[in-house]
Amino acid sequence: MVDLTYWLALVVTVLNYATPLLIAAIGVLIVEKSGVLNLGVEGMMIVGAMVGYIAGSYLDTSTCALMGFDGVTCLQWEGSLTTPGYIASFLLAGLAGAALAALFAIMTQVFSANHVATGLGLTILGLTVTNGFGPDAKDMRVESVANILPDSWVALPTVGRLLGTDLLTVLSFFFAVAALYFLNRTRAGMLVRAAGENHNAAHALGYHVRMIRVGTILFGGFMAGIAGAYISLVQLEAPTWREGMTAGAGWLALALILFSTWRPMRVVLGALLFGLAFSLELRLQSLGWMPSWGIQFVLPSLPYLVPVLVLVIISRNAAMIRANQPGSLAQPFNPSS
Amino acid sequence: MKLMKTLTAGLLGTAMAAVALSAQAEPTKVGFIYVGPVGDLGWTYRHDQARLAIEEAFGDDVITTYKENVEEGAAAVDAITDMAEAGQDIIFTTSFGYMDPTNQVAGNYPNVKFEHATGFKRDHDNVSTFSARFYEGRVVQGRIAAAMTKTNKIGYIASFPIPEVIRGINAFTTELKQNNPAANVEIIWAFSWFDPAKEAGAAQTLIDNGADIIVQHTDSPAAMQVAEARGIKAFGQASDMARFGPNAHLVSIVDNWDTYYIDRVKAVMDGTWSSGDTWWGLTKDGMGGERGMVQLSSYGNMPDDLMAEAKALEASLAKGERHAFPCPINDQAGNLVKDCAEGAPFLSDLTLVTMDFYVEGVTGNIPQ
Amino acid sequence: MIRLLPAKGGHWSGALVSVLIATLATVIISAVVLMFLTDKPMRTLWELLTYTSQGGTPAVQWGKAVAEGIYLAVIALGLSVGYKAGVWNIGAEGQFAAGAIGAYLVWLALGAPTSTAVLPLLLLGGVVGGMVWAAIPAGLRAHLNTNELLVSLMLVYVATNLLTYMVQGPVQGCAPALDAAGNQVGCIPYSPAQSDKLPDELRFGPIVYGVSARSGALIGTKIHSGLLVLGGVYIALAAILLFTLIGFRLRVAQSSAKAERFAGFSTAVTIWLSFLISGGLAGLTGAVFLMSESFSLTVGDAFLSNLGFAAIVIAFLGRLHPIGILAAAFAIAYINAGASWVASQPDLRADDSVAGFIEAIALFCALATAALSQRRLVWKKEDPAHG
Repeated sequence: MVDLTYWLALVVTVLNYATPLLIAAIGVLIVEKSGVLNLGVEGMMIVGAMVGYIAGSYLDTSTCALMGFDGVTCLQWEGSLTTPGYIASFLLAGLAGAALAALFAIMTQVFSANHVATGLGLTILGLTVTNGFGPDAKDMRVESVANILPDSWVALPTVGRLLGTDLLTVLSFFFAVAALYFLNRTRAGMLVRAAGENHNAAHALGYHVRMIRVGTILFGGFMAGIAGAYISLVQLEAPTWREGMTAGAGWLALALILFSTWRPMRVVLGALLFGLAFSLELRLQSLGWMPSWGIQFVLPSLPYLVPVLVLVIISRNAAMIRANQPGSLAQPFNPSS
Repeated sequence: MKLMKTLTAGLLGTAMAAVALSAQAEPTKVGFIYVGPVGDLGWTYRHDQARLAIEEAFGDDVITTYKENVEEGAAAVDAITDMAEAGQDIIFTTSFGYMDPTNQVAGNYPNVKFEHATGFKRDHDNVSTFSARFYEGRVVQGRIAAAMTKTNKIGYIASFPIPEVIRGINAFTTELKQNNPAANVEIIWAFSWFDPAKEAGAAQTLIDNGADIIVQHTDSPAAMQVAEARGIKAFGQASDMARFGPNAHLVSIVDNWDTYYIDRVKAVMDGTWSSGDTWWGLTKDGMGGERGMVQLSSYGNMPDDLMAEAKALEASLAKGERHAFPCPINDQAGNLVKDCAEGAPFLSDLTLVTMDFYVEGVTGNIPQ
Repeated sequence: MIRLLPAKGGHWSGALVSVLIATLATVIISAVVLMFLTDKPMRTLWELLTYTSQGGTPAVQWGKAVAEGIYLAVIALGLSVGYKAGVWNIGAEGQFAAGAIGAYLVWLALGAPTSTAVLPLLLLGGVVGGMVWAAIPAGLRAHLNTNELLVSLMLVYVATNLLTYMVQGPVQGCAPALDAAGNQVGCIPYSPAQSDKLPDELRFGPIVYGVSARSGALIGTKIHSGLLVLGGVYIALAAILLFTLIGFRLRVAQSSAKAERFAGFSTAVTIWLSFLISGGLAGLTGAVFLMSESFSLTVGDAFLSNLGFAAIVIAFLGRLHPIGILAAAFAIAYINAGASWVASQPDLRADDSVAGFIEAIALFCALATAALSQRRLVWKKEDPAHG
């Protein structure tokens, strides 16, 4: 049974699990590069997952038109989400994530609240808001997401699975490259790094450290929201919603950044590794040779044990971390003037 | 959305309360403890449909209250206690895991009636238990799968290795093998009743391994959606899942608690309620009588002659002409099962209730 | 006029002002949110705050709030030690589970005795279980410089899976199936799976009873003897933290080299102490929970009721101070129990997740006003320059 089709299917599954981690982690990367530690990623993701799902289910022509998709329907009423509806759903999810991030920005940049406590609070808030007040599956209307490529291509044997890969999966790799370019090659990226490296120096040079940080925090929330919507709309091939369905993905995105030592290309590598850990659970069970402690304990724990393991390995090289860690990360910023 | 639902339910509630006041009659209060969200579209959804059926049947004479997502541990004791404290006259606890909490609380509230779904423990005479013979539907699914599979590989998503689930696997596989000896079943355990991510992941894995029909004994429609997206066939569970797989859905085993719930609430109103155990299949008596707790949805996506054959099988199961587990039945090792060895015509209820073995034809081991 | 002037190291008057503002803001925002979530916001809010005298059995209702309040307070007090020092253990939920597993394994290792004499050993097993689980992030942080916050959180998922695996495998229990004559003919595994139950001798029974307003029966409340153990531990640790030199050193310890000299603890010692105290307390609470409410291990999701995560909120709401934590724990537990009551009311039908909302609102109000406690309240004559 283990042939090319099997391996391609495994690759697709790994990509499926890696995509939201990668998208959220790119957001985290930019936020941390500006010197801000926002532990609310999990909360922003779950809200994004819920809003994306609701948007996918309830968008109609008029809402769609309001968002600039004039004259096209977002939903084919057979229940498949079309490209405009898809984009609109993800935009709304991103905005929801950014709204939560705005709360974090106000708390930390205006009220000078503790970053760690506020971030944890944001996660708890996100999980609470979606817990019990999420949408009911029985009211759901979006039942599948349309493929970008023609259906006949996707239906091809063997390679069809790979061709059916979601647009965002492809885009997420571009996001990583774009983050690299942004941070190293643009003036805005230089400002972000300056704010994160030494906020007092950046402030002394006349840069608006707080404004830069508000910007990156909002961006981070937007990306987390999109990543969440990917989980509810695309990841399972079956748009679905369940309370707490992000299952720690937001924390894994934070772990990814530590693993990558703040370098975009290693974020990609880490996301694929974490994605593999997720996809092994059911696949190894189906091979049939695992003992039950492996099936019931080790495999479901892999997505959480692998990050711990790689963090341990990475952390031993303290010099490399120091070389890349933003100098002012999570440090209190109190400009006297 | 839940918010809208809460608002409408509240408005209706207010209207009903007003009517009840003017009628000067104290309505019977009925409480429900749900294990999942009302919108799971499977198990809890069907229990909530029965709650609505009670409201429809008795109108202003009842007030129903429910609590969803109640974990099956110590938290259930608190939830059930609150229901009793708040003045419910009869409380339906709708999951196996509420067995001990239900009996524990029942001892404290002898004047409240408790109805526990799928359990078997009745420590007090104000506790009743009830369950459905879901496995009768598995027989029909086995027959359909035998004829529909082209790869001769069926993917089976199971929840927990407990008798109820093992009965389903055995009933399905026996019928499948009898009609298509070349067909095989691959089982993946989700170790959850409701986890769309895991259920979808299991369906993907099974399909990647070559399965062209998916059977599920879990509650969300995720597997059906995956089957639809991949262009294969699937059976639904707990509620009619045709909507999630217009081209994939063959038939769903639908739980129907309406009749039983209405009967029991009526008994409370009349003062005739008494403790007991109820196990209904496609019909109440298993002999073609009134409709029971198990029901098959509309059939689809199969040839007409197969559909007719499946419907005939359903009818004969309902009338008791055909039992789901007729002797002879061998276990995995090829030995005749005890009941059959003793000359019984089919497996006894006791064997079914405690079923902890696979029958011949099922491959693999029950997880320990 | 009244002014708030900066006070280095904080001042009680500033803290009082911040608590008052936070409480007021919480009530107002909660009332507004309730208007959107329920159709009878004022009735709901009223029942939510006064449910202990709303027709149910008062002792039963109080019992729920007291029991949860003590669990939360004990876990949160443990966490607060580390949080003050900048050591982030957010995995108390996993340590709670490990404590319950530890207690249960001690019972099995002793040969499943039914003697009350081994009860302290079970509690010790809980403490050790929690400490072992907390030692993983502590050791990795102290000696390999691995981020303790993420590791402790990841281990919550692992502990949940461990619990689930154990009850589905090595320690799976089953319920006896009886035939019509009452003879045992088989054993039906529980679903979701659970272990065999602890014997009555090893359970903490109720110490407060109430006559049910509903049935007239005498009902044991959730106030059980195990709470006395937890309460004693809380008082002892709070006294140590507030009144002893070692407590003072713990309170000023920091996980940075700068503070090392001041507190007299090295960074590594601070990290280890923080995790062992918090892990041990969470583990002890897990053991008490096992012996008073659950009686058996069950699959992770059913056994864990979020106490370890809620305690993080409590620690911050209580401003990491033993008295504040106690107050916050009871306030939140009171509202949680009230929400459950409100959700069971035939004519209200409010969703019990309103409690979660109020908790989150309270947290943000507390965090936003935290800076105020670094100030002190002064009564000053009007400044003539601005007159």
